[in-house]
Amino acid sequence: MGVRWSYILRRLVTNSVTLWVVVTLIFVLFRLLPGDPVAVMVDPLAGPEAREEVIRELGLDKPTLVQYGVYLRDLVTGRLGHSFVYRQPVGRMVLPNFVNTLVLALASLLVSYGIGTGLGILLAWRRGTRLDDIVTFVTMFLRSAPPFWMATLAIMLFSVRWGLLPVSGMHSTGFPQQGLLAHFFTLDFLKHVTLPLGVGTLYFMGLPALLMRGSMLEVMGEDYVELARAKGMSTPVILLRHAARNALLPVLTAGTMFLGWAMGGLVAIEYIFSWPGLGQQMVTALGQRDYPLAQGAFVLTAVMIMLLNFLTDLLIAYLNPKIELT
Amino acid sequence: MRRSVLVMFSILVLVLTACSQTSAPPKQAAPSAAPAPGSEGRLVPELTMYLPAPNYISTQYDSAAFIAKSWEKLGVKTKLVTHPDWATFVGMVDDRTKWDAAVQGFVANPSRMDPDEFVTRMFLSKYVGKGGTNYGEYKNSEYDKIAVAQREEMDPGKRLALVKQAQALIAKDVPAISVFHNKTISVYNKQKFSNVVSVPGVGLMNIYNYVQATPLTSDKTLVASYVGQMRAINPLNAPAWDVEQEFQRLVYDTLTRIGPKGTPEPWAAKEWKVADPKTVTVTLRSGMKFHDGKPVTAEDVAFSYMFIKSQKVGSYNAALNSIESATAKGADAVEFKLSAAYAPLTTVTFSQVPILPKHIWDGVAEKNKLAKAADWDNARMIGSGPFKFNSFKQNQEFIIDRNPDHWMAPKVDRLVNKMFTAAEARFLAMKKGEVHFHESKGLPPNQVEEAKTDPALGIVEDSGNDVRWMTFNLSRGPFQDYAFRAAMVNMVDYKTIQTDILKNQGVGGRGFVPPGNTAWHDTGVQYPQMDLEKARKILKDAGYEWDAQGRLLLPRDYKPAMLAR
Repeated sequence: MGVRWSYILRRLVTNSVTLWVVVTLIFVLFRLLPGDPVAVMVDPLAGPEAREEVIRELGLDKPTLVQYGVYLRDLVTGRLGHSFVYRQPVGRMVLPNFVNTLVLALASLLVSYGIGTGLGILLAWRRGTRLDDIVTFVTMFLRSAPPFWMATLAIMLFSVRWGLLPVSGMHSTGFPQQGLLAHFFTLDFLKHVTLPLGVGTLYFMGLPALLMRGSMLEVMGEDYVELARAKGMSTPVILLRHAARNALLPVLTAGTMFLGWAMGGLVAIEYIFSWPGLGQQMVTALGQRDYPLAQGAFVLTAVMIMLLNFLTDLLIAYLNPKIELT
Repeated sequence: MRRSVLVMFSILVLVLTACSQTSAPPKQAAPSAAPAPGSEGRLVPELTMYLPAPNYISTQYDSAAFIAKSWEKLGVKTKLVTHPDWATFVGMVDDRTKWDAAVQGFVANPSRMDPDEFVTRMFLSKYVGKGGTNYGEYKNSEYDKIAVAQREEMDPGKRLALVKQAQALIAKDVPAISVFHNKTISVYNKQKFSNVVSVPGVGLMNIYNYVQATPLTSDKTLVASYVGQMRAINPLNAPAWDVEQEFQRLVYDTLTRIGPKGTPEPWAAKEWKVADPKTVTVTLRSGMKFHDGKPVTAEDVAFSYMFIKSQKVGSYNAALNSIESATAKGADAVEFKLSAAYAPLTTVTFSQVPILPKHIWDGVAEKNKLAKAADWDNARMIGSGPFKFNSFKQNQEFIIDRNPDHWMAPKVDRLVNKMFTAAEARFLAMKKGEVHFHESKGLPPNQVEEAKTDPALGIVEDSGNDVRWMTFNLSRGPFQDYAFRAAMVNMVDYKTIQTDILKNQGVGGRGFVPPGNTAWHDTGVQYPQMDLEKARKILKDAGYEWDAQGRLLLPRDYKPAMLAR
């Protein structure tokens, strides 16, 4: 086991500093955005008094440094502020969306990396053949195609033309709010998650597929593979039992960074499918200049990514005896 | 095989580049000659026009760009400046030091069927200033008098005369022009619903439609969808006329409603009387009940108006400003006393303010330990409307059920407002039959065309009730000069805009009370049309000249303010 307490402590400190930098950057960037949040919220005909009232209410009349102080103080005590537009505590609003995005993200990760890895192994096996050319091309094409285009296309075909799947959302209209289990483990949810997951998989599987292919080719040139071949093992056995396991490492590393890289694509997918997730919430909050909500969503995403990275670092160190985390 | 593909691709790229070069228009000869004598410094500077980006409403961008191009014939160049983000754009226009002309629009909605907003918003001098809506800084005391008078004139006939005067004055002074008026297009599923009712300004998205639409199949749930997100079910937390208010007013009743003729119809109020310009008495319909069974009384109505006014809710401020007091007189009459006569009271205010149950809302902030009543989640949403609250998933769906005890009980069992973030997904849901009523002010022409060819979809068009306008900056630059303005507005080719750009999905600009508003629009006003000769003459008579390259020069006695940048 290659993990020391000193490492964990140091990671916690560096992560906290990173988080503080991120949080400050978010605060500054939103304030730099042109466009008056109050203008979007108040009817101009209401007169300048209504405008002043809203500014005072939201604390926008205080100097920026004071606003920053309030913002930090709230964050440290676990409060993400009060939404300008919805007048509710941001934490309460962001949490369910966070869960929905996490579910979609994890499902996309598992499926796209699962299929992608399998594809990579296949391509390495059939390297140089027509199959290799075609599948590589198709994968790269899917990776370059904008996810919102693929999503719209998917809806047109699978939902409208063939009537197989719903158009949007996470549940059917009028689906009752229930506990976590009933929320996600139903047929209704499965039907609704299929298209977003499908589009996400097609979009995200390019990386693991090509990465695995390259890694496999490298590994297959190693001595122990030669030895296995000499021993008379069949190719599939060699591929899966010996080569794949070792070739998997770079793909796993890429997998841990998936969340950070995938956020952009996930936002587009959430947008088209009206998936009630963090990405969709961020986009609408931004358009409405709802600073606290957008900030809250961003901060939560940053925390999520850092936490997952940290956990996977620990996991890999635990699994692989050769790695010593210092 | 791969090399040949690469070669073919390269050749294709080269061919395409060559083609684009040859078909490009010949470059204008750069002005190289020395300026004509006496014209140094008199050159009319390049104008700056702020306009919404093409992704917002493409026809608005196209028509404004087209006008800028027409202006070149007078020797004036215009720079088009845009921004794809709406909030940023609004902020840009607010800075009057940077533009000469700005383009925006007022979408149609039922409260705008009363002319007050269009007549006052852009032209009253008191709305000049940061955050104010008089963008061009038009200050005309004669206009102010007329505009304020129409607001305070309770007699409809006299008020119409004043509104007509206002339209004529704007057409003469041209501080701004309307460019076109869109048709509002609603699409609905005619295989599933019949008996649809359209109201000017909103098309099918109105309460009369929702209560009268009759299901033709066994599915008795009506699913509607709009551009916009519904964020709260608390009526104190809604922006001025937006999706939310319309849906909230299905659960909450109002005194009147704007009906299919565009005029107020009795609703919770049986009748109303203007006793004197500052006193209005309303008689309520009898037998009304809230969804929790308690009766609706005059107390509730009086309470609602004064309570919402005391909460200083932004979206109701203008409407409630002039109400000094609302008192219940008996069980079914309410007397409103105004601080100043206010004509839109009966046409706009009465159709907007929801009737809240006093026994729930009185002291609600204190009872729930909230800073303001607007922060309350209003989880049960008890109103007295034709629909009862069922459930609300923020930004996803809003579900309401039929209220069988209402005098206008709906024919459908349930109504759903389904929310989408992407317009394409909404339209696809329409085609699939998952959404039955869909309206978008900016429905792209291709979706309209597609809807026309779909046998399941019906289209309802509402004549132009919105105003897409271009305002001129009267605080700086050449537009301060009346002759310059008068000439430039004679270079707007409304016919081409209507036929080629709008493809007849609207009409060319006819002032600030839209032509679709037949009760208030003055058909007698002449608006300047495309006339190059007339424009040149106006400029020449005012002392403008052209240099050897055809560029426009200010008159020799021009005021320095005309060039202020």
